[in-house]
Amino acid sequence: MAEIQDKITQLCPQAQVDTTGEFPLVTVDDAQWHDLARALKNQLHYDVLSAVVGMDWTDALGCVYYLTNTSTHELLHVKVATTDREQPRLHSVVDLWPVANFQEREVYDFYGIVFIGHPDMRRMFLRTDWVGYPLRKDYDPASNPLRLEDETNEDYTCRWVEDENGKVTKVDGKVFEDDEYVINVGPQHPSTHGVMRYRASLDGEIIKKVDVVSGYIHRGIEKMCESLTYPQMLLYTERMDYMAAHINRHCMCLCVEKALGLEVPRRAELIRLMMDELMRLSSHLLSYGCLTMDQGATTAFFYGFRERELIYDIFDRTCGARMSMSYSTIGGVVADVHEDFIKDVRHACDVIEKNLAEYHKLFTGNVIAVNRMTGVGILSKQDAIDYAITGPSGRASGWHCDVRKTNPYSLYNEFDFDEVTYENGDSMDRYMVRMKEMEQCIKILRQACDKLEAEGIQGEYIAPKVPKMMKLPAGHWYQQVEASRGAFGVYIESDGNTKPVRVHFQSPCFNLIGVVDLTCKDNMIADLITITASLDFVIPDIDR
Amino acid sequence: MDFSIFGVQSTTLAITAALTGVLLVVGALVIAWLIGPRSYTEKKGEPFECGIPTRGDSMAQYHVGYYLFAILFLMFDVETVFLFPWAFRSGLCLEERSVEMEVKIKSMKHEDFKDNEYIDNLVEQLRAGGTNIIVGKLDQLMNWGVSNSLWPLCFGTSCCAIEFMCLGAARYDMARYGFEVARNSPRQADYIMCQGTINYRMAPALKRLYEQMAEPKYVIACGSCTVSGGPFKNSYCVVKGVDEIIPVDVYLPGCPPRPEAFFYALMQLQRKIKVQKYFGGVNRKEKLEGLKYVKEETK
Ligand code: SF4
Repeated sequence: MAEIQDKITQLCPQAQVDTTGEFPLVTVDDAQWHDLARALKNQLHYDVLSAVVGMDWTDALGCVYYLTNTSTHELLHVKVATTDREQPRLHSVVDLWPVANFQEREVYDFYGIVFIGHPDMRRMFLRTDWVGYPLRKDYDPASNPLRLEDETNEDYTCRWVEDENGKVTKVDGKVFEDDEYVINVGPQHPSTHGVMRYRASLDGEIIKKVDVVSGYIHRGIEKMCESLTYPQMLLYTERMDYMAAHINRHCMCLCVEKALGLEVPRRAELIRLMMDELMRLSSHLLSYGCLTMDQGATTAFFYGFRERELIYDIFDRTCGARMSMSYSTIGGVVADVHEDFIKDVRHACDVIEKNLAEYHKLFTGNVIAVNRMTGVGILSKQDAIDYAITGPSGRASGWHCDVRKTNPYSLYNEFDFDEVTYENGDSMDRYMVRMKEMEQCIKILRQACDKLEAEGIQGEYIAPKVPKMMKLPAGHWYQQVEASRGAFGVYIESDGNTKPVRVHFQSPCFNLIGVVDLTCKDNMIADLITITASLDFVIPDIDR
Repeated sequence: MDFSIFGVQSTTLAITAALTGVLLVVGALVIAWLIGPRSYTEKKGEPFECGIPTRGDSMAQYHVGYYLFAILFLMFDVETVFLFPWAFRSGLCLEERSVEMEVKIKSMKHEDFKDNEYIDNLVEQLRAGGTNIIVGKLDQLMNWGVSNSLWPLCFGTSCCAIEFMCLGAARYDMARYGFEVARNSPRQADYIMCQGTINYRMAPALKRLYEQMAEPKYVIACGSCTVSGGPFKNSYCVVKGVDEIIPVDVYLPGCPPRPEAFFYALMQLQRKIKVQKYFGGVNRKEKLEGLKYVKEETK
């Protein structure tokens, strides 16, 4: 860590580096931020912008940027703030990390911070006629009642540019030119997997540009978390990416446990890990079903769901619910597993393993499937890194980004499994990564069954005592896990009370919509559906 | 001139043709015009069904490729390719199915199912009003038809939609009750199964979709989110129950409700439909209001 400190002080003498926290923290003024960012990226290989957390510290507004080093997988975070509440402005880093495009728009939407040099400073999630910035501490909820009129002026956007003398001016622009042929898909559309909306500009059948309009299921979870205690917050983690419910909840638990310094019993951690993998299996099965259904193979959907019911049964028996299981808690799990748990998991593994071969036989080699997916929607490795596309979609481009391998959490370093990667980054590879990953899930689950049998006695697990009034010490924490669709991160900032000051969820799907335009451009309009299906996002996870 | 085809007199043929070709079609249209409930609004007339206002002119020039693509798609719909392999393997699948069949769906007792104050009140009212025997029988016939082929609109915004998908899949299989034909267009749907949170941005879209549906239409508020805002009640942008925007027929709590609960809600909707009146009363009033609207439009 001291090494990093020296390097950064060399790059930018004005920056303050604090190495006492879990990751090095750099505090820098907005004036030096862009230069430092360039140096961090080009000289120190902080290639991935993992998260941008907007903040309102009441005396200042600002952002915390989490950067990941692609060679060492180390994290670093940078704090940039401005004290101007009336016209808060920071410099954009979109030119360095393209993923910042949507990230910064989100911050603008929630905090009203304008990013100088950002090409498209529009609202991200909220209505175009929204008043105020909801995540600011002084926001008044009464200022935005329910409105049933349609939104207007969604075609206009603006940029803020700075000239040599440092004078900032606003430049208006349009999303689409007047003579462009624009097709609207969604929000109510069967193939957008929820309430997503795309506006695609076409030249004949070829897509020229896709504008993603998000926010049709934005629920304001981050703001609500600020008025809840830590155990209460857990509920929302399961309702963002409901196909990674256990995993997200696990992440939140890990983050709070890290802050409190809690030790989790090994049996509980094993059970959580198994639940995570079962969830991943279930999620990939759903993704198989939806991808095939979107290409017209409705029958395959039933096959995927047949196996998913096996997993639902396991959850049902142990957690008492099929979805939204509320099983992990801070410090462990709520209760021991059902007595048949191991038997059921083994059975499910066997059945799914056998049927995977069937799936491949039926769909993978099919000539139409091959033609519609091979070479379509290519995402290069460099783009995957620039846009921070993690998870199966990133690995299909050949980027080794599995958090279970790069920054092992829970008990993953005790397990023997492979990180599945492909080379081409097209729709077919993204599909294949998921299919192959299911095999790895089964491999992990089988090992975990053996370990769980040897660990503790069935039915005698007692959840550890945790303080009733959970107070996190003042400070902030960030925890990443590998969810079904990529790296999921939780950021908690506490001032020492029972309630947090700020909670941020860095969802993998949010980054995925950033590449819809990139991957769909120059493909046919019909491929929009296969490409987005192969990217496989869950809309509530994007909107939160 | 009298002649016969395959031994059938031409007069008989003519009568049959007249009956099927003219009388049935015209009859159906007339009956539908007489008793079918309907509503007219501005939004209903919009050509697109994706929930947001229609913009631009649909008379723009299309690329010829679209037509070719549409024709080719029909010809080579991916599904047909699977017909053969699936049929080929079905023997194997049957074996597996027999193991799965043992799963029992626990349903509730009949008395509990029948225990619904709201519908009982409806029945009471109906009895008190009294109905003509012929009209009553006709109503029953209509209700029998409507309640047994309810087609939902695919409207899932979040988590609850996944459970709805399970309902459509093999284990729960809502096809057993005639609910299976999930429609993507509101104009073909009988009810909106509103699954998932509705926020301020989505609310106008939901309202528009509801207005675009053909009468008679129903709404099931499915999951705590749509009943009351559920876990997101304190949010700055979540609608606290869809009944703020559209009328709701059945409330189905749960987060998410289990598939069995979905069935319960659907059957309650059936019960509600079965006590509904088509002749006179409510529908006539709606129709008149609709006509008023049309007159104002044409002025
Ligand atoms: S009721 Fe629960 S499960 Fe259903 S959409 Fe709302 S949060 Fe999700």
